[in-house]
Amino acid sequence: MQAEPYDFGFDRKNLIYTFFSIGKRGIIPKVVAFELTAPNHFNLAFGDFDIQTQTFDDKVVSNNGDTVKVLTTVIQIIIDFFNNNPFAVLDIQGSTSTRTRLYQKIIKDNLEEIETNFRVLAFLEESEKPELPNFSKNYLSFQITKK
Amino acid sequence: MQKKNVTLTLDAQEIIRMIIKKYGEHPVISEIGKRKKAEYERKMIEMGKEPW
Repeated sequence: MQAEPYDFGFDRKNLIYTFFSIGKRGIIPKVVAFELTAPNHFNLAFGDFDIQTQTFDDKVVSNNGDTVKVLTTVIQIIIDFFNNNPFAVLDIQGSTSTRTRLYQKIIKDNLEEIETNFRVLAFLEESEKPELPNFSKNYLSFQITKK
Repeated sequence: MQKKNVTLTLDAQEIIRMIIKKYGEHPVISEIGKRKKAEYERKMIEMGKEPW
């Protein structure tokens, strides 16, 4: 990923992060939330936030022309989250199969760098045990912990 | 964090306040998150334990 991340804001618990995508379709508020789903276990939620209706949408395709910059920002936010929650277990699963494939490609393309500081496991099915990623497979989700 | 645009930074904080007001300080706002949290709570209850 080669892009300068957007500036982002965050809450005092480092669980809710926001930033603004600025592109051809305007300024779009983005939210990254680290959802506590079990003790010390978090799910990554990422999507657009509609200020008028105050609703979150993780399936919308913004098409704002700044995908790399947005994803670079999300990666920086994940790093910031782990700096403040070093013992967290983070699940990453796309809200759609297309998004999951995108996440898998990002992890695959940056695995060496990611594994400098993080452990990555992959799930083929939710109920199965995780395994070390083998990118000839299509995974359902990934689990990240800090080394 | 660099703050290149004060207005945008203030707006970001306003959105965070909106989310906390609507969903609480531990927001679970995605369908996947809601399902995973419910699954954990169900398992704990089945085991006779308090989820949280």
